[in-house]
Amino acid sequence: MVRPIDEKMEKRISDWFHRDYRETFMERIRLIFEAEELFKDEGNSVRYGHTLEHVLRNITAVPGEGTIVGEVKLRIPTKEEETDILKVYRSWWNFSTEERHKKILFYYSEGWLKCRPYFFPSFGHLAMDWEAIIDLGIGGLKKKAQERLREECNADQKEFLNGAVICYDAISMYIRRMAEALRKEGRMETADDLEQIAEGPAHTFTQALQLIWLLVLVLQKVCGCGVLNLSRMDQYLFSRYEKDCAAGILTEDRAVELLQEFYFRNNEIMVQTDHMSQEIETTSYTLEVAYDDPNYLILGGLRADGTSGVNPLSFLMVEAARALKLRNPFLVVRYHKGINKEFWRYCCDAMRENTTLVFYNDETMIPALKRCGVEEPEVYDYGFWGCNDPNIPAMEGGLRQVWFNLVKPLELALNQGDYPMEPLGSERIEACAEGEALDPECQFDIDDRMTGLMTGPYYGIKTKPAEEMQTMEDFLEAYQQQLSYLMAEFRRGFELDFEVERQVTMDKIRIEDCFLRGTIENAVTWTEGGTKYHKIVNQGSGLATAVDALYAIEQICFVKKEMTLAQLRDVLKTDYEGQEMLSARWKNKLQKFGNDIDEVDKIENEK
Amino acid sequence: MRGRVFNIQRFSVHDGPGIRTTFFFKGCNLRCRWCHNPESYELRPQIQYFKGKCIGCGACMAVCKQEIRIEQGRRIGMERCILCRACEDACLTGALKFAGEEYSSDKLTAVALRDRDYYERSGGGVTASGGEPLLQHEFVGEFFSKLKEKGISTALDTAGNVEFERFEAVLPYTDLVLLDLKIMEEKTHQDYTGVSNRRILENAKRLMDLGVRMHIRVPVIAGVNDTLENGLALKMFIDKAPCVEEVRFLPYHDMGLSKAASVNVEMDTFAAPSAERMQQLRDLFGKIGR
Repeated sequence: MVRPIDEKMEKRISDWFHRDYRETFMERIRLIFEAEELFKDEGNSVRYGHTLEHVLRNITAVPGEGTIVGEVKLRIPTKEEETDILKVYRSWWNFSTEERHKKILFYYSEGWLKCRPYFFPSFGHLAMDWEAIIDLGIGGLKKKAQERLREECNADQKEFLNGAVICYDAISMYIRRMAEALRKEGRMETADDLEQIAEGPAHTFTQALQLIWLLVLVLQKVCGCGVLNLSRMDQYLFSRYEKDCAAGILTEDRAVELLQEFYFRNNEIMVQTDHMSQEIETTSYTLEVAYDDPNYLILGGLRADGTSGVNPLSFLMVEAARALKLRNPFLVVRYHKGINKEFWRYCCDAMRENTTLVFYNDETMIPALKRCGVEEPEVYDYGFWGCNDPNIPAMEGGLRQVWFNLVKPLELALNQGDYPMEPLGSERIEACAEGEALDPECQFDIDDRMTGLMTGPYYGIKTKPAEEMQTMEDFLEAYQQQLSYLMAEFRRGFELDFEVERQVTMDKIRIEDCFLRGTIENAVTWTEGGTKYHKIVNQGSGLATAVDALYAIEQICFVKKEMTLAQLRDVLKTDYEGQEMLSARWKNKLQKFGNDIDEVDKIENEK
Repeated sequence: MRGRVFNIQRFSVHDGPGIRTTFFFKGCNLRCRWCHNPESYELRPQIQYFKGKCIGCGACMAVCKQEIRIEQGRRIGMERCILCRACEDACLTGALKFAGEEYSSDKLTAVALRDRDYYERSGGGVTASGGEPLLQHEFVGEFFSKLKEKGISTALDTAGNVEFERFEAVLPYTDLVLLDLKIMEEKTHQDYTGVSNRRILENAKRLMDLGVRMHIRVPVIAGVNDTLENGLALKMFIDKAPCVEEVRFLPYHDMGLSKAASVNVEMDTFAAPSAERMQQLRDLFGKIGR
């Protein structure tokens, strides 16, 4: 069953689709610029907190329609305003990567950095401790910070915790302002709910959704902390759902309506664009910190006690998304053996109808996470955000990654560790012992480390020349050696960065530090070890290209023996000059990875 | 024993229940004017030539010892072809394709077993189709017997225009027969398929008398057999035989036209029936109409 959306929601969606992409949260920008000046002489974390407070005290509190309230005021800037804003943005980041690193650490791309204040940074890409948020309330979390302050703290820790307390107070104040605005509109019941959640725990299902939404609004639209894993909502909201239904204050129909409102709000703060496509106007125009940040919602899956997490709320959460068919939230349904068949079919039907829904498999994910050191019971709460990044909610920080080019080691293995486009040359190779690095500098330069890409020239270690490789095993061994070397270089680079960060980051805060487990207890930001887990994602990219290339080498040089490995190396160095038919032939005639062909796929397994 | 197959299609969902692997056997003794697998007509292997993929590079002509050439979108001299496949190997765009590989039953069984998990989860299995698989009845019988040993469900997709002895070689290992009953009126059947339907209907009757589990399949072509008259005649014929579980109406499509051209077969173009007529035909059969 799919309960249809009502006319009011259809209109809201239509209005949102027709919104001009230039509409901008101008109030925030003006207030951030004021804050830069107002609090410039303060410590990092206190400055952060006061900046948040300044914004939340002065932006218009806009409840908007429906029961799940909270919007921001938008307008289209004038051309002059656009120019002035961009001028300030450029001044924020107009220095070297080394200096950027000290201010903001990993920043992924120029597009991401563009609108972010150096004194008020966050990139999101994590999961807050949603259960603690709704169970303890903002006030309860603030109390923990205040208690920690009374324990032993060094100067950096005091700074951090003081900043956190200011942030909690700022958010509570903003929720109260929203309640005030509701009272002026005569919406007393919702105002009462907001008064409760301004500091206290959420007692009802509606209050819980409301608190989560208002926090998401602040996190994402004010702080730029988006791409959130909303975690296992069907688990942590279920008791309130059940209690409210039993008490007669909630029905299934109403729960679906509230979820639809909540989902719509998550979409409403986004622009109709794609942040990865910097070349299109709707993306390159933006003056906002958050304009295209989907949030992720995890459903189903095994629980730590071995039982299934599928419950009636799981169905309703899929149903609400199925009716809306919007981009947000990105539903992640966790399959496990013995999953409720009806739920599974329901999700398959939803996916077939183009609901934003994907499946992950507990049977492979949980063992894999355990192999990476994730312990029980938290491993059972894994979720996702972003580009396929697994996440242990509340217990780890945000994005730090490299898109590791899996084809690069192949190129190095063919050329004794030299980079053929900018070779160091035979003299350098001869001067090295086998296994020695051709270039002693860390191969991942700081630009690549801060953006998580491999754009520079990369040199490897000296391995056998192609002339001496007699078998495919010889070549695979060289490939493995180059791969291991580059991964070690990646680690080396981050260790260098960490040494710098320890000097400049210990007194800093990001908004998410207020809502993670461990950051308040340890009184330090997640980037410097505040959380139990600290993941750096190594995205193996170009897997299919690498496997296809390795298979091609095996076939051409060692099975069909069409040419030697050295001859192949030389053909590639000239980009098939004079031998273009070879390129066409190999591209079209050799089997490819991913077609269930054992002799190709085995290479991926070996790698 | 080896069988000649022109296509193996994994994850088939329209060739019997569940998720199936369909093995398309070469050779057919009908010549249906709407056929969507005309490369199946000849029992012998062939080289198909897809004009739309050809870039005119001449690589095939350079390697052909029989001097077969391409002129104005046609391959000239194919009667000399010795099926050495040098042209297929030389062609970089897939314009030339060999149809009619030979396989042992062990090899086909190994292919089928790769998707066992899908069959089990979905109630699927293996379908022998074509062409007319019963033109290679001994091989299909051997193949099916091996599948049954492995616990795989089998379906035989046949036009039924063969001696019943051929059925008898395969039926002991067949869980389901998908039988095409295209046109009930004999002369019309002859006009559009090249053969009388007499033997087909006799075989169908024998299968029903034996209680063989069957799905009847009717390719529906506008202006040919999409009449309620044909539907009613079919209904009377199967006369609520309990072993007929389903009557499936399959609307015409023209995806066989480029394949027909690839093997130099002239093919007529027809039209698909209206959605309304399709529903009327299905409704004639109540619960078993699909």
